[in-house]
Amino acid sequence: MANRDKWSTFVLLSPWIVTFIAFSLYPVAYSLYLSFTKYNPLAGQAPRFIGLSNYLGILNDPAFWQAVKNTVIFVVGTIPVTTGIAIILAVFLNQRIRFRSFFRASYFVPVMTSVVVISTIFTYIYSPFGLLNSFLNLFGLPGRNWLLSTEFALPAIMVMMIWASFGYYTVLFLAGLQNIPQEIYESAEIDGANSVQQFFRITLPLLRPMLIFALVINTIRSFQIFSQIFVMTQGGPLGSTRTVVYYLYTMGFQKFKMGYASGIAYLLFLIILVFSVIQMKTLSYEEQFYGR
Amino acid sequence: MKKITAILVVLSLLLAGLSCVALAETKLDVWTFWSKDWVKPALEEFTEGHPDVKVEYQQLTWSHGLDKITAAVSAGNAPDVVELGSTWMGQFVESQALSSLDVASAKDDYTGWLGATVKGEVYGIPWFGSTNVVYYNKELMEKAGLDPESPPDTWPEFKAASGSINDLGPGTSGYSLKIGGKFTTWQKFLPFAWSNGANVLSEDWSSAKLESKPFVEALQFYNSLKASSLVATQEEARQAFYLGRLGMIYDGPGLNIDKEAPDLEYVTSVLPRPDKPGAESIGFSGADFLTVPRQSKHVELATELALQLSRGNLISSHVNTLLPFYQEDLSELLEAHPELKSFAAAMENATSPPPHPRWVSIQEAITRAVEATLLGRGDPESNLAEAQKSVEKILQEYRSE
Repeated sequence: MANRDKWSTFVLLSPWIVTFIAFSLYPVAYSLYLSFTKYNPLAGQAPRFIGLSNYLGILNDPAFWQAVKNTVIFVVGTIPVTTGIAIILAVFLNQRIRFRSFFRASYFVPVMTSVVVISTIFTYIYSPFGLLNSFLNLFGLPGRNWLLSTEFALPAIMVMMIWASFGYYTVLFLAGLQNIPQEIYESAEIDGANSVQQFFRITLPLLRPMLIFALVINTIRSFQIFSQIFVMTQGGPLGSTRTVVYYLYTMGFQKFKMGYASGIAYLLFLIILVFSVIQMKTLSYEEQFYGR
Repeated sequence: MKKITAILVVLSLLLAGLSCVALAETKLDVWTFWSKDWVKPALEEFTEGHPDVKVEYQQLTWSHGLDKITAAVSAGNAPDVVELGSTWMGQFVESQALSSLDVASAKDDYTGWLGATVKGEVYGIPWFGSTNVVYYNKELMEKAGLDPESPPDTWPEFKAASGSINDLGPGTSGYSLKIGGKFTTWQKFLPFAWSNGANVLSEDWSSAKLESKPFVEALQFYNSLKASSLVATQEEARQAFYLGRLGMIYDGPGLNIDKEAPDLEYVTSVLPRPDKPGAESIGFSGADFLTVPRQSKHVELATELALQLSRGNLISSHVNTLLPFYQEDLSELLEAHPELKSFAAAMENATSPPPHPRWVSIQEAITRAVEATLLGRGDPESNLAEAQKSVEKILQEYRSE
């Protein structure tokens, strides 16, 4: 009987297991193998094993390090802002205000919109004759070609991504806030804590698990930024918006160096792993309460 | 009982599978970048002549087409006929992804074989080509005191014209220096270098020539246009031209004035040449080829279908500035659209970048030098010196492989 249960579990789970193996596990393992080979997908020849050459090449490749730098700037520049806006809005939307449902829904709209659509719209907003320049001109400020400027292209994309993603984290924090028992606030009020104190002493600490989750998820996503770059700047001007995944794409699909591209993917995996571990360690919930 | 049912089910599935194989006709997969309606006549004519062959057509998109082709080839799943752009040919031929075609009988009916020929073997049928010409906004020219009937012929005249249109006031620019993206920057700049007698590589592709005097001069001249030009992406420059805010734009089939700005009056002319004796205007020509991947099991049939597709002005009748390489079609097109003669003339004197297998990397180095210069990062000499170094390295890596 127990055996039969095992079987039926497997059978019932098989649609997921099969697709997971075929479309996630196998490609991940295969690209690890590819990262130790030289492989041109057009040539129709089997990948040739070349040991660590790809990794050594990547680590000595200035374009890769520029991509890492751009990506880190993107990650470090967007996440605190996105998180800050999201927490403030969540607290605001958690109160009994007018049109609460309207605000909740409208902040979430960009999250549901396709990244390609958002990127295309912002390309027009940032263009020389676009909305942003017309707006600046109203105040007599000079416009510029935002996406063709080595200084401003990356920040312009960062601003767009903050706008496009804070709604998602707002909803996460809103859910977190609603898990905080109202009684704690009541007793704090009796003890004479004002709302700022309540926010920093009660809301933030109790929001911590959600905060960790949001930060880790956002870090992983931000390190993988690609579509925005693909649509808006193709990594230009002068590589100032070339991110790691975009660089990986050009190597794999324009220069057909699949092994090299796979190596970049695994190095990116390592970078994300390190960042995530650091985040989990420093923000960990357990440590706060039991670790000392 | 259950076992028997199971066995029966399996058997019937097997049988069904077998019968499919037995009944299967020869199938040809065709991938191009155009709407099925446009190519339908050729596909229908082909299947009429080959009732036992089934043709499956798929339209690719410009943004993801190459990725799709690459994925299909590497998965061993390539189509039988696929359209490739001239800048992709080098890589595909070098990777041995294409079959060489037996087209001896058709050779005299077409021009444009050069871009598909490597070491004497032909790897694609020239479908259509395009080149760029300079479009001038007639109204802005007249306002600036220029004669639209005789557009600038030489570099100094060109620069002067750009300056006087730019002086019409804020919001109006003379020329447009187009940068950004994978192709725009170098495709719009190289004609200036070529017209000045410069080349990217030496003839035997053994060394880069980016530091040569004519090349540097060309970039210096290009940079000197900046003061009176709009520096923008291709799409932005086109928008500016449609809106009547731009006097001159170097463009080709992608500029759709008839649709976007039907009231705009314009004249076209070949790109101006340097003001020295013997200098000629040499434009950029792009071409598209119909190729047969090596993986195709029906090379002969596929070649026949590709030839069929390349005739009848299937694309050129919709996008006039894409000129067919099939000579009969070309004369027919020019008869119906005499205004295309300036394109045909420009086409005759146009050239393509060298089909070096590493061109994708080489073009990046040129793009970088041109963009750095136009964005005010360093002068033409130092930027080209850096590009020269990068290209030399690319060539060396290629030789050592």
